Amino acid sequence: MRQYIIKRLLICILVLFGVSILLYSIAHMVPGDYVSNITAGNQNITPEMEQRMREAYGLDKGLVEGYFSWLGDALHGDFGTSFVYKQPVVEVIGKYMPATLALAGISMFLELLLAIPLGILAARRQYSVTDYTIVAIAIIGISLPSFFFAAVLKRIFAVGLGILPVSGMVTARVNYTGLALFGDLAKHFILPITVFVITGVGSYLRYVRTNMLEVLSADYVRTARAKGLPERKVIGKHAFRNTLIPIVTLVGGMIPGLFSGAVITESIFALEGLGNVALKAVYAGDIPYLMGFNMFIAALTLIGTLVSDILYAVVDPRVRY
Amino acid sequence: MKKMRQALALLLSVAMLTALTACGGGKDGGNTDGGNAGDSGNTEQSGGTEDNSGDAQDGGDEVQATGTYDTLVIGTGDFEGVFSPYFYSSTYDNQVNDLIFATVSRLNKDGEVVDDAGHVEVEEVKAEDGTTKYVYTVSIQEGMKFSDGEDVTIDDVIFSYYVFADPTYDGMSTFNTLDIEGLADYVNAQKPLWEAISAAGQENTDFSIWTEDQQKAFWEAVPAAGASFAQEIVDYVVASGDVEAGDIAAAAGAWGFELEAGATAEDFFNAMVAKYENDLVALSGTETAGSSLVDFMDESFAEMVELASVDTITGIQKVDDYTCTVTFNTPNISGDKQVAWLPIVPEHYYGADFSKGHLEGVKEKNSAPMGSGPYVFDNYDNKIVSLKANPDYFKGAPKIPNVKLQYVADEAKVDTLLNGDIDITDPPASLEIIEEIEASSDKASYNLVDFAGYGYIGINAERIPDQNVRKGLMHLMNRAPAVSSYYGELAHVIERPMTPTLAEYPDDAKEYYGYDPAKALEYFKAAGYEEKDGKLMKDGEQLVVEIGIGELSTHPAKAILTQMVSDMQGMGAELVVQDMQFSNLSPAVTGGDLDMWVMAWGNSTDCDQTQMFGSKGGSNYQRYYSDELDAVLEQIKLTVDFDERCKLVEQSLDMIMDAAVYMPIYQRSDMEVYNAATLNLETLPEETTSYYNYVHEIETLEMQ
Repeated sequence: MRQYIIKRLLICILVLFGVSILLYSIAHMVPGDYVSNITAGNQNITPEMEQRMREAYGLDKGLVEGYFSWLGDALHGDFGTSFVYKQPVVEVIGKYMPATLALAGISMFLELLLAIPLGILAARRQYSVTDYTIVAIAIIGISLPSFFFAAVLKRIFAVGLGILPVSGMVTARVNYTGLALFGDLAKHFILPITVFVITGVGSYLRYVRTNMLEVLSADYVRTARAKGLPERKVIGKHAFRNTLIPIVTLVGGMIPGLFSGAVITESIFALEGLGNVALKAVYAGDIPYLMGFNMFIAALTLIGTLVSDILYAVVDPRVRY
Repeated sequence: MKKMRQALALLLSVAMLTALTACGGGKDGGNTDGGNAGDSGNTEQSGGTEDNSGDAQDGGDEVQATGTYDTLVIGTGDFEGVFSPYFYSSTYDNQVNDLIFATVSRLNKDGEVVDDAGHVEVEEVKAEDGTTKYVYTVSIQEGMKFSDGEDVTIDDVIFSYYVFADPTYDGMSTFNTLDIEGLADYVNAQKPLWEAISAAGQENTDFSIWTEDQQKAFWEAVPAAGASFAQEIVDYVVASGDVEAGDIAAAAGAWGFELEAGATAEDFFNAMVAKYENDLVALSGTETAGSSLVDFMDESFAEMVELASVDTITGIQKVDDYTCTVTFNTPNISGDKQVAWLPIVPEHYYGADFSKGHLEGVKEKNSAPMGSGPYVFDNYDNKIVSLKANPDYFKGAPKIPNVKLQYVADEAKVDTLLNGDIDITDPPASLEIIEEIEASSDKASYNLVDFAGYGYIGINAERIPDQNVRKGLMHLMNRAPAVSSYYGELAHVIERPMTPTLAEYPDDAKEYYGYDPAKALEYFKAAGYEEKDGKLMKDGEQLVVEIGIGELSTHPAKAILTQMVSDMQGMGAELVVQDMQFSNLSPAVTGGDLDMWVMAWGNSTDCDQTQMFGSKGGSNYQRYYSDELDAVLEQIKLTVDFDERCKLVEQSLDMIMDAAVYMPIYQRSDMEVYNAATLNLETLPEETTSYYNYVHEIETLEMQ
């Protein structure tokens, strides 16, 4: 096991290296650099000024030279300074992470909390009214575009009833502290989380349901029933634990999603999250930020798959490394 | 084994659960963390601001609310968090700067320079060498204080000049391009070694900056490097297909140098040296086919060297603690704006570690601004900038104790205001929004302000060199219906490529190219196009024009293009519309990859258009070069007399219109919306323009 993990970690490093080359080339090839973006529309910029700014931002270097200078700094833990925010990339990520993590984390927790029991319930009563209702709601959720659903929710709860804020993270007019601040934040997070959960829960739910159905028709479940075990035990002990196996891999894959942010939801509700920042970085040509952030996500993705592979072995005794 | 596995399972599950619960608790945990992280990341910041508020209290009188509300909330665009008058690039960051920093002068409703915390005036002075200099005397009021209690002196103004002029400055200001005495020497005191050696010449005996050996090595390297340099040009000419490989004389001929048959690359280079009178730097910069001369030499010659330690700008002189002078070599119509429409920034705070070439210390204060304006920076968190009133503000303490600027998405601005969460905001003006506000007039009122910019269609004169073709295209642009159907009352068609909010704009200008497809066809025919099998052809090629536009589906110029496409189809020509993302459109336009494009200019404060229309202008995307036009544009910059200048401006604009490279389309309005339920609307300025709004009178604004 330990050898396996070490081997995987070494492979991860190689993969990250390859990913960094790919990412840098793509970021470098995107048309329009940061300097031309910020100077566009300003009539007073002279070509000499633009040239000087390119040098100041290190944009005059070629692809290969640029990559190696980035790599050299990155290996020393220096991911550079974001062009847009004029702060170290690591600090920018750290600053905008809490909101994204809170939004995605709470939503994912709620999604799993809803998806697992409802999925099992739907599977147990396959083809019943309960099953159809649950599946129908799940599919409606999947099909709803988040920007549209968000607009509808805003119309009803913020503009119409006026009980929830339209957007933002806190009420600007009042200086809340402590518990009141927490309450204010919570109020601002209700609508975004609702959008997240309702549009996202369906796919997990259907996943759980399908797996449960498969397990329920397995021989050992029939055996368990034939032994005369109570249904509660058949489902809870014999069937449910086996549906856990695919769910575990699913959860491992969710880890990068916790940090990558939700561009649409964040921007509709004006939340200060990583998704929004990343989008802005793409538009502005903020290469240091894009590199730092994408490498971070790439590392998380690799760790996520590693964790789910390990968990796989843990929950399924047949898997050995 | 089993035990170990169980233990591992438990461990990993616990890890996962903690991860999830951590996120669950992240709402408060996460955000208080965020706050702390922000604070600890900027220890100096919080220290600094605490000092500020402490001093404000020491000042004795904390500002008290006049009504129920003690906080003004401004709904604004997305911040980048660079609250520095030197380095901001987002207008929303600068909106914060405007509240924190007082300026020497400001603009009035018509965009003219008037006194704010100081005064500026200019006089012509005959210098000893007989040239005329233009001396701006900049003075500030006495007795003003920064929000930490330190006195404001003229040194703080001079400090800003030096930051803007620094050779490593990478912000938006164009101060370091001004023709101020000694400024160029200060900015360019560093040169690549090879430029310095070649400028000194072969006979130079001053070896203080480079050694004799270096100089010798350089001049020995020149012939070989020059031959390679010339060879590159030859290869370039050969690759373009007009000249046979190996025929250097012919290649040089194509490049504009007469050489005898059988000449070598070295001969070619010597011919260039002769033309440039031994000025290798100019030669390398002008004649290059891609590489610089130094690229063919040892790398050490490309390194930067400090020529002489120029530590001061001779044209900037301190007179007394509250006065300084700035001397220009040439007249500059916006000289007063350049030297006085600047924020006053405390040197003791920003400039503690500043010396020439070292702006790191100044940049460290990007997230912790301090000035002497009406408000004092408190913090920036959760996309909200919090400011507190400055009781020592020189125009008197503001009446509203707190101002917060909150990011609100454009679509949500009006709803959020009607909800009562914000008090002033600037949604993109639209007819629906006006309707919505008028429907709830007890809650909100609005103001329309002409935007200091305009939308236009540009034509690349290099890609469409025939003026008749360009004129034909101009006659196909049906602007009025497009603008009125899109904007209604919120925009109007303009006739010359200049912001109409500028005083110099010729308001009575007539339409230059009316919509007239028949005339367009005439022009196309005059250019040599003929109809063949229903196609407009010339030299076997159909007339096909490519135009780039950003976000076509919602663009105000969409109707113009739609009509152009169908009109041109009817004539047998083709207009290819490229719908592009702005970040792709912009490099395509600047790189000259499009025949035509649709874009807009913004934030114009003066009528100098050399950057856009001059031959050497950095924004001359239409690539139309005319010496005649250059001369007029240059003259405009030097003409201080207003009426004279107006005439010249009109002349230059007519020349641009006649060249058929720029079709101005519309000038639109911006909108400011005010919350009638929280604000005391009578305390808003009587008139709001694109140069003057409530921010300029924020100290007298009151809430209910």
